[in-house]
Amino acid sequence: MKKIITFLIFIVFIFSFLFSEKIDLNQATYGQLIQLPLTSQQIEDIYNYRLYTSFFYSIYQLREIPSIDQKTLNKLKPLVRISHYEEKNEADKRRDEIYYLIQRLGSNEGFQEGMSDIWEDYLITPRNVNKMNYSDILSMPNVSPIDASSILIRKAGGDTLTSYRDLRKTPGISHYGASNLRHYVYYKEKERQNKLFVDYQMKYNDSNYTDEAQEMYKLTRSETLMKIASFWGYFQMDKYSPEIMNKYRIRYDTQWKAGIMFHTRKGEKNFLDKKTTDEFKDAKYFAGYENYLFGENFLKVYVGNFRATYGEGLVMENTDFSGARKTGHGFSKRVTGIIGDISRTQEYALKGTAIEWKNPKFQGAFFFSKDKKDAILYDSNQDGIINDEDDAFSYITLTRRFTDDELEGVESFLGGEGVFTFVPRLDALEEQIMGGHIEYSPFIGTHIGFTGYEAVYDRDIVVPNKSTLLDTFHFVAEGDTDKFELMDNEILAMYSTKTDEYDRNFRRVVGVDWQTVIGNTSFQGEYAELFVNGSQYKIGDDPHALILSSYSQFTDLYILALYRDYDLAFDNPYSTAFYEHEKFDDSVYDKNSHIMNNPLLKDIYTNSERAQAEKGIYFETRYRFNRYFTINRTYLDIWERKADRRKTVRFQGELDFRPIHQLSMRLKYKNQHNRYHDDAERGVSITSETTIKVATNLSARDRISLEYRYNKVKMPPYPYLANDAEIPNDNDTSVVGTTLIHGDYIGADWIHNFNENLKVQGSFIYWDGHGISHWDWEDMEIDFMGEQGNKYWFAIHSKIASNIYIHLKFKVKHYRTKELVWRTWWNSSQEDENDYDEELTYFDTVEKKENTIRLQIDWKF
Amino acid sequence: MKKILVSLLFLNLLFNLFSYSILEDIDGNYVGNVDSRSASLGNTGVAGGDRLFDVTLNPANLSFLKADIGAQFVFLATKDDDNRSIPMYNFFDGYVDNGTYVSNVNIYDEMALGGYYKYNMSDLGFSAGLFYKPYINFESDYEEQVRNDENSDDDNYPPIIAKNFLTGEGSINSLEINFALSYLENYSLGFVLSKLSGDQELTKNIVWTDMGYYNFAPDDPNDPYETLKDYYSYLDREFEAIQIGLGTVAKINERLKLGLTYKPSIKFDVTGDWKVRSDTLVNENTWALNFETYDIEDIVYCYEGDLVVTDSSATFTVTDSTMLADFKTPTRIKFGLFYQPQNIMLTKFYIDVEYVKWEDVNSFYENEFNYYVGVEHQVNNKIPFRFGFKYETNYYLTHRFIDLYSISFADKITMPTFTIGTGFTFLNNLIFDISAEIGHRRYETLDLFMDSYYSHHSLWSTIEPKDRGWENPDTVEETLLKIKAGLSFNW
Repeated sequence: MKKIITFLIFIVFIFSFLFSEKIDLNQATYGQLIQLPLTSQQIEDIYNYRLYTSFFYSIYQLREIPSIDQKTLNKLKPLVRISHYEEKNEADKRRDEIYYLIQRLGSNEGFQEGMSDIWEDYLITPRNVNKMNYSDILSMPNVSPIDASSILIRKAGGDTLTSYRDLRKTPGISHYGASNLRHYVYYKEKERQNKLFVDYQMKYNDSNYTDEAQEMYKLTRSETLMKIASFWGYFQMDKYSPEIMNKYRIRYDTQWKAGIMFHTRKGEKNFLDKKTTDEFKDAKYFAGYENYLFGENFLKVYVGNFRATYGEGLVMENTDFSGARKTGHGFSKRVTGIIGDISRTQEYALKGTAIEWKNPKFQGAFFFSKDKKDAILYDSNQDGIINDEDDAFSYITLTRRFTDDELEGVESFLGGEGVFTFVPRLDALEEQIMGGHIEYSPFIGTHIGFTGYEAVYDRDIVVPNKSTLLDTFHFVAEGDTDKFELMDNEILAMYSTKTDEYDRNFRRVVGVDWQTVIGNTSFQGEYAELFVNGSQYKIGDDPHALILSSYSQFTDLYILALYRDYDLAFDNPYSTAFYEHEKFDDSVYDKNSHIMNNPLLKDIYTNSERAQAEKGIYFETRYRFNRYFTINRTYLDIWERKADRRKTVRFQGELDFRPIHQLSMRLKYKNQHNRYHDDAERGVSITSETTIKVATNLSARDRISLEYRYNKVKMPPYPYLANDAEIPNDNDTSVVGTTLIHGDYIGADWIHNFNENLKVQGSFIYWDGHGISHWDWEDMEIDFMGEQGNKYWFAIHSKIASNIYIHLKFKVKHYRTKELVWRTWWNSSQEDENDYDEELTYFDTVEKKENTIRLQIDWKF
Repeated sequence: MKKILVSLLFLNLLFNLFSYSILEDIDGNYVGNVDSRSASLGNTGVAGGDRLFDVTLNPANLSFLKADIGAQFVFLATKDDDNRSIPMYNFFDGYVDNGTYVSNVNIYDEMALGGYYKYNMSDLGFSAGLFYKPYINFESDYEEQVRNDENSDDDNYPPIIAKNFLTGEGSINSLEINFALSYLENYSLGFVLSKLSGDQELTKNIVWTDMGYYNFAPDDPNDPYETLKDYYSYLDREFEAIQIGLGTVAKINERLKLGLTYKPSIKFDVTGDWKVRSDTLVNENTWALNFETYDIEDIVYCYEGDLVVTDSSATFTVTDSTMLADFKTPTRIKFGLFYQPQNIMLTKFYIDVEYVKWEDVNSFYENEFNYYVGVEHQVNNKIPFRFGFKYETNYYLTHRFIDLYSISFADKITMPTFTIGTGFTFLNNLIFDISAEIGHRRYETLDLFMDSYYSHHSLWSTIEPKDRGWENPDTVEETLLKIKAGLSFNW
């Protein structure tokens, strides 16, 4: 009887499950789950798995839970079901899809300061490709003018793009362009999301000052044997201090946008130590509206900080960050138009109002900015003090923005009144800019545009002539004036608002840009003039600059040719057009900063992102022979520096060999020959660099690569490499010829993806530069390495949730400094036994060690 | 008269040598949290600490421990790599860089032990724990060679003439009793009562080498005033205090917990003395070993507010003072957030922010925030991968002496730390956690052993070593590697 009752109970139990509704594992409450024939631990494990690991997409996922064995799974199969249920919203899902692209944008931030935010917004809320105009499509990463033109021509024929597959069928579009564009667009009209997006980003970075900055701050004007007699010692810059950035962005759908960014440079007071008013004074912020109105008319309005870019960047592209060989194509894309700006750009930031309107035929923009700029002032009235009565000498982008009180303190301590005749001052030059751009596009792929601006200043900018600069104001130390050489003509050619010929309070730059696409080739260019002493309405009688380029695109090949010609006196602070060398390269700011009146002037060069006056032609190509061989980005540049007419040729080529998908080998060669036209000239130098890199792609995007680099420089002798006339025993001076320095570098990189949410990266590098500096592209930044040393770093990229990312990097770098070499050399020649100070500061070896941490947290909702 | 002169000489030495300290030999090293899991997560865990010693971060964490009875043992090892450098100059006598002249590597270890019991009654839960852990550590070791390098340019090996030593020992330990009350396992309130006691012995020595004596001896071996005598000083302090702490944790939902903890400032009862060798002259040629003893309440620090000194011979205005007998800790208020999202790896995310009221310790200190971030991923087979970051700001005194006064500067030193770790579970109730923390700090300070002390005419033929002031300070780079290994038992 007992057995029968037990059997009946069992039957009832089983039937109650079989005929009752199955439990949905994705939506069941804890109370529902405990109805399952499982232990309390198993139920809790299932519940926690769904809550903290993943929703169920298959019943077999239950086996991922350690407490659920196959037997239990078999028992559960008839009792449960899996519904298609997720709690994620559209934006979170989209972020999951494109996480790897967001990571990639972040890692390229160094090249495209501020642009990754814009592209990320497009990734999260793509735009309808069928409604985008030419400049919209062209603004997307790695999309060429031919790609943009192809899409618009197809649309103009009445066609509509319906899918990525459809996009790829567009005649003339490149595979590369289409595959990049697909992430930023959709094809059918979607309902407005009317969603609020908020992005927060914090970046902490305690990397050391660059070698150039250290050299600048350690320079002293007095021979004192006192550390405190340098900027470095006075401000205790050996102390640890990080760079911190906090950025907040908010947008409502794609129309309303706003943002604010607080940035503390290394060494500066952070937000806890600053007054709130000062914190907001230095902050960057914007609010903007952009939307289609009346059909295809697109309107943008921005207040606060904004960025304006037009043409080839000759007239207007306001940024503190740029780089050599910015062609406007491929990875060095120039996004034209007005955008809100909360990048780290500080000196060339525009603050005011900007409005832009465009339709397929016409485009117009007007902008107004009023902002105070950091500037170099000098004692122009020679009254012994530098104040509001004095003229400005130049804009300056400062590595560390010392306050005026700090600067006055150190100037007084180091030299006293009248010793520093050139000083940087914060917000010393009020600049009021009015500018605009109009553009007409008669047919698809072709436009002509006009850009111009006028900057009005509240004080004169006057660059004295050479004799006044050197003899009256002692721009360089007395006795060193012969080191102010031909290339320093760049300094003398800077723009003045007041000269013997005119007296005004403005700078005015105008230009014309154009582009046309014919077949698979686009032709573009820009011509700009800085109004100095010519006629306002006559072309060619003022300092001018010209860029002409063509870009031809084939299936496996592209060819870019670019010609540029910039006048020495074309001094436009808002130009970041193509250049090989940045402005003031090789000038006294660069090579002889120790003789300048104020070491901080060196920042004019080290943070210069403007083109040096040069004239030359540049060719670039990429050609994929077949699946095994590819000539990667390869270029040849032949140009002449205007200041001293130095002619240079530079070549770089990359050959990739990929015998199987998992293995790639790269051979890279670079050669630069300075002053190739005149062997007898002192400045002749030849630099060559050969790199071999082998990379293996393992499973799950894991990767290991090895790199070896060898480089050498043949150049004129430097005092610390060969005996020179300053050796105490003058009679011992030997005859020296060309110096050869050579160094090498070996590195190994490793990437391991634990899964799609956790990536670990590491690298070890050893280098021996012998005076040659190497550079290394770390995961999110470039590191320059001089002399000899080794370093290793370790980075963790973690996606904590769909909307929280963290990136943490730890780096250790050991190296020797160059100063050590000549210090040792000098002491070994020291014969004056009574010079005790020298003896007391003698060192045999000096090794430096840097530990740096970089942290980035992104929170998006 | 000679006796007075000698007394003055030693008094001068006393003040000159005493307070030029390595960074934490006087203030001690605040141990803070001892748990190895938390350490690998950037020392986070004010909300959502999983281990027993996370009650150090927040006493309310005790309620959220899973088992009813548990214990934890932690072993801590610290490797301190301390490099001191002095400025070096180019042939224009301009500053170019720093050259390391002394490097010390030391390893210290500590231990901590604790146990708890939890009892649930309906919706309420009661927990109690007992802990013994280090609170402040005074251990330090420093050795420096003094060489006569005036003939080194002739390829002569510079002989060692003296060795300088600083040795710190002792710690303040905390015996804590912790109570926590929870409601519905969602809210918890914790209270901790700590008895803090310990001692410190700090020794400073300058020992002349045989080479030093040898160089000196031919001069005038019978003149007692010229005799090189080793220098010794001993600081002994004993500390007593009671501290309380409060904390709360609220589980907002299944993903989010918030925590808050408060530990008020405490002032220790400090007793002790300081002895310095001060030999007495017995007769014309004979000295007797003698030590002068000073009560620590008689040793006064005077404060000068500015950090940057623009003139090494400037006259200072004494604006405040304190005694060596004053030993205070600041009020600490810490807020924590714990978030557990849905992730294909089980993931826990922690952020803590600490407000430290340094003004409690010294009027020249400013209140600061410390930041802590940590992430734990269960990568595979329940093996966690933990990493974190912390950014802490501490205040120290750096000293400058003019005659008999000790002038101190409030110096703010920040230390970022990268942390990493993992853990293993055995037999379901035994957990082993291990963590590594790598922190680096760099600061400027004055020479620990001023050069004029060695400026004896018989030791140097042409050089007269002089003191370096703030115009040429030492730059100190310290790398701290902390390893923590913890064993937790749960029943």
